[in-house]
Amino acid sequence: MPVLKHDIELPASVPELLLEKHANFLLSYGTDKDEYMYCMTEHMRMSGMYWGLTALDLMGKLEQTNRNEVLEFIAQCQTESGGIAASLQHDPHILYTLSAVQILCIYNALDTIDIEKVVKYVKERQQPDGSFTGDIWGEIDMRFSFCAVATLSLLNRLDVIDVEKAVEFVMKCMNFDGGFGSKPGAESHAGMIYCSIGLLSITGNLHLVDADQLSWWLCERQLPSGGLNGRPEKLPDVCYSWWVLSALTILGRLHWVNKEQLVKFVLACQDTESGGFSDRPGDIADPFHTLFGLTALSLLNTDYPLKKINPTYCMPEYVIQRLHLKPARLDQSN
Amino acid sequence: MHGRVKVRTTAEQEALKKKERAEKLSRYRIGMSIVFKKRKDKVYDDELMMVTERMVLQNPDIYTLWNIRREAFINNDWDEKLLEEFYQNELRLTENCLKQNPKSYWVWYQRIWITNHLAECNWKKELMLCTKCLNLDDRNFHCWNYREFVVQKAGISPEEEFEFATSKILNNFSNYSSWHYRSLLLSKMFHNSDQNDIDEKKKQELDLVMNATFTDPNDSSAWFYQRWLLNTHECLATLSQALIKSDNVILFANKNISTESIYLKVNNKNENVQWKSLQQTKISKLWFGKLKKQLNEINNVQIEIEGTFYPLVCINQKWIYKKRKYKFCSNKDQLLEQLSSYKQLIEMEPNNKWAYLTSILLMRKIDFIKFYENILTNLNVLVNIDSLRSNYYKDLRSKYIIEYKIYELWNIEEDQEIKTEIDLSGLNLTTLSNNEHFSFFEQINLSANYLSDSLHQLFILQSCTKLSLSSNQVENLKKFPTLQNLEVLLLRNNKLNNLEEILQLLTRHKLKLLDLRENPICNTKELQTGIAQISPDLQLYIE
Repeated sequence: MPVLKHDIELPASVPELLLEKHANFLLSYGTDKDEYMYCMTEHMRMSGMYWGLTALDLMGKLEQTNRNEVLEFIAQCQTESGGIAASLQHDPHILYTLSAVQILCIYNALDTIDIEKVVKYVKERQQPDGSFTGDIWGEIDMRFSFCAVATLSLLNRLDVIDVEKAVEFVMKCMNFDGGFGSKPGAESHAGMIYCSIGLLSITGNLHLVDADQLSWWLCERQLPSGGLNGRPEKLPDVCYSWWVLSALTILGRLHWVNKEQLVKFVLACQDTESGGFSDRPGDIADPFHTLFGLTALSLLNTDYPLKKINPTYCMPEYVIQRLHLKPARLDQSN
Repeated sequence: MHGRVKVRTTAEQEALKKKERAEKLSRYRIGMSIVFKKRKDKVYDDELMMVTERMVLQNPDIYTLWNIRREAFINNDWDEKLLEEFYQNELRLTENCLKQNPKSYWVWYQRIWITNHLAECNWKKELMLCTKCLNLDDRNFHCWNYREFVVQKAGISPEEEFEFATSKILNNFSNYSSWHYRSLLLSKMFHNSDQNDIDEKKKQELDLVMNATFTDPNDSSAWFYQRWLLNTHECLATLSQALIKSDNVILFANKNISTESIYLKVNNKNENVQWKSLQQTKISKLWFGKLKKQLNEINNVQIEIEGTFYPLVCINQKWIYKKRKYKFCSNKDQLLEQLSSYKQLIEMEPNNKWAYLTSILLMRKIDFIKFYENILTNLNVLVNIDSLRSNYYKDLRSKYIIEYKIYELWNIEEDQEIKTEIDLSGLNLTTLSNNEHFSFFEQINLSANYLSDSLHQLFILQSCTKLSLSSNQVENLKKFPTLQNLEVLLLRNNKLNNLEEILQLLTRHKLKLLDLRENPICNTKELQTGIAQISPDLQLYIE
């Protein structure tokens, strides 16, 4: 096989899964409120917390987190508009509204916020063409469609939006390769495919997709290193292990990637000293890639002691069952 | 954090870095507190603009700062001239931010917001900015998206943009984004063309893309585009097969349709039909209908789909329609030529999976039946040379085998008949694929395959009364769907060992015969008594 331009070589030895280290990495994240990287990522704090807490829950460490502190913070981040901000004094946005609702579902504490106001905020984001804006300033993106639909379904309030129109917008974003981009005409991207397939899964519209064509594109993301990229001719990255695998799982074609090789790649992205996962071997670890490294391992049904992850919501399966949600999957008949 | 390499540093370097960071952090905190204070007091002055400008240059992803700047544009007391100056400054600022961070969603959106607010935007200049940015990184999808926005604003035609896309591709064949953009423009251009123009254009594209695949055979970009070109692009929905038997109708079309576009006409009058799709979806290829009353043999029966009428023939109390032809391909010579070119490429690069896969797609399009054996041979090669995706190729092989077997059945069936029985045993099938013909069969033999992970797909066997899944290494029946007509189920020689699952299956079906021979479950004492309680009349084979 000729060496591909866009791939990496795995290190000679791949470490075992270092769960204890990852748990400590995440638990210590944010204990020093003056730590530089922590402070400088304030503008995405709510998502950062969701990444860390979900990962800790998968590892069975949720009870070691500071539940009260988190809930109090979320309550303070809800603004008059009903939307939730990334952090105190920052502006509300649908990205952080979903992260907050996901955390509250995991903690089983939705009464922390004013749910009616969240519902109103999300409803106000929908545009006549079915798309959603991220906030009052009008940016439109597939990510926001997913955030809106996921948030409302977690709150059991999908009825307040025009679901049919929302689906129509997703279908306008479908491309020649069967994938989806961030808006009509935008190139297919594994992250946007996750958002689109997630939305179609929640609303029961997976039949609109050519599952064979799209899943082929998705399994072509796997490179000889075992890792997955997010678009053709790009470098592999642990986070795509999640975006690609979750979509393939929902489409019932997870077996089209090579599990052993992928597990090896994900394990090679661990920081064996400080804990956590990075995008590629040898890079700096962070909570984002730590979550997606662990969720990938969870989806791949490895024997590691990790809770099962739900591929549509990227939340622990037991939480989704507690909420009585049944997002559609093509590997289930009826 | 993407692509940030972890580097080892000395204690001295570490201390220096710590000091720098402490200073940066303090500047960040002071800056944020000034900004938040001024926002609270609604003071939209020069200082606010300066501080936020400095901060977004440091970190363009602090989205709230962009929001505050927009608030300043809206709530200021600047005169028109000054406002215009601030807008122009914002264009420079976003450009500077993009130079450092060309992938920041927030910055690109700020630019869209500003250009939308300008009294007169110089769209040509914006287009040039895109071209410049794409020259630096021709895969930056943010920039491609912005270009799409500018093109619409400036009213540039798809034909004009097509020239740009061509120059981009000729400059660098290995660029998936350009191929994507090309597909987009072509689809727009197809929209206003007739079929001949489309076919002609596609021929030209096939030549271009083959050139590209030969230039860099290991770059995947062009191969994806080629696979798209080889797909059929059918606009109209057409009926593929229909069957009416007593008060039941089954039909399927070549693409998804809604019940609103299907009419059953008896003696030219619309008949009342209760339609249902498999998953209760509003659109589907496959539809099941229930008639109010059975049809009378002398009736003239037609199905209308999207304005086209399909007459059904009546024989033995059944009405049928079947389309039994493969689509005519208008550029057979060109495809044959391409096929022979890729044969040469395979000789030069025997491990190039793309050449094998594309050959399969070409053969399938030229003459599936004639090339069937070659297609299978190529697939077997692919299983070995592209082992990461071996399961994909195995599933593709299953799909083609099933299509071929159904074709063989067509050859032996009479003109006015749809076969109700199919033998697909011992074919190494790993998936049932989504073949709608399955819904018409009543007796299906799937024994001696590898379908243990595909039981959920049996859902499509809606007419099935007799099913064999013997020798499929089935371990559990959790995903076995409910098939309302099923009477005989053969599960001999599998790995079933869970009594609960079997009893559960029986409660969901009215089975007459169940064959469980050569399964571990046969050693379970409670098997017979458990089954007898649920289905006392069942004919059960256990040894």
